[in-house]
Amino acid sequence: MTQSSFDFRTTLGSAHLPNPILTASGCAANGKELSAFFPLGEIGAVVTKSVMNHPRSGRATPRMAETPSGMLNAIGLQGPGIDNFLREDLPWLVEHGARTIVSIAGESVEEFATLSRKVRNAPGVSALEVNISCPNVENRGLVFACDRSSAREVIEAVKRSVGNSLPIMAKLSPDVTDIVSIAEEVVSAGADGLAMINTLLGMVINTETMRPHLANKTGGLSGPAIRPVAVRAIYQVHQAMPKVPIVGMGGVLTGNDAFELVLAGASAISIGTATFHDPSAPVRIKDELEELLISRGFTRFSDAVGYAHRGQS
Amino acid sequence: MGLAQDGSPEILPVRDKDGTLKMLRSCVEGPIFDGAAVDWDGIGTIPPGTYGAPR
Repeated sequence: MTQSSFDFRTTLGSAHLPNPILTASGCAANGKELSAFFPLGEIGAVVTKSVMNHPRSGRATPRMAETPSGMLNAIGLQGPGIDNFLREDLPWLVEHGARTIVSIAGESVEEFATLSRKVRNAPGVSALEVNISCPNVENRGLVFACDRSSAREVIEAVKRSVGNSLPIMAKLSPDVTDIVSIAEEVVSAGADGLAMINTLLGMVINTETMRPHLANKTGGLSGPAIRPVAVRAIYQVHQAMPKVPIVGMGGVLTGNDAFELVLAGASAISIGTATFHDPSAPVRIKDELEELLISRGFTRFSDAVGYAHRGQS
Repeated sequence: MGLAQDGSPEILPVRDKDGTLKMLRSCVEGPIFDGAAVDWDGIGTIPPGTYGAPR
């Protein structure tokens, strides 16, 4: 088996991608930064930073902190707003040969519905990522992804907006007691697949100032420190719903890390924090994963998805 | 101050050529900014009137 004959394709609902390596939302803005390091068409898709209805300045600084084997961020979804995104960023991605998964975030069910309606008719979108790890301003700020009924309401609203025109990937938070029950809820509400895991909520206190380091006090933990959490969550959800495609993410730095998520059940792998110190990581990891799969005797990527579950009832 | 752990400003309020105040990443939009365009007093905050500031 050589790289030229290896079948690296994957599918996420109705989206067919030439390989399973994606960017992780929020780690490469809307693609322009990474295009200086590799042609964006070389990876399966670019997952754009979660965009909201209106332009957002993001939160006060500091917004980031280094942690052991990871980092903490509280950016606050800084972005151009959906209209500017559709007018400028998305056409740029299409023009540069990128397959694009548009990530949306809202503070209300209605905002998610509006966003998905706007994205539905935009050309060049492979799939929609619904980032439900946002506070619901209509429900005491409770994060949608942490509440089954709120998560369901969002996905049902998005499904009503887009129908079957785009696959819907619901992005799940690991900060829940039972991620399988949330996954089952959003899939029954109309999600075609899942993106997991989002960051874990964390905090750093600066021992010089003796105050929280981040202006927001808390932030999302990412990087290799969370990879075992991702592997566990993906494994559990794939076991419960083996036919539901999962975009796995959480601290992938190497092809071997990506392979671990694939064995757990991921049909695609998003590269996030790694790109901050190695912007070419998505392409490097793609090549490493392909070589690894071939060396283990796989002829098709899809055969490796969930392979760690083999022989189990 | 809005400083990263190494002491460098990570994101700054900077006026663009139209005079709109925007939060810009020093790593991508910088690393060098026109000092006259930076809202020095606003570093570490979202200054009032910043593009996309919370309403």
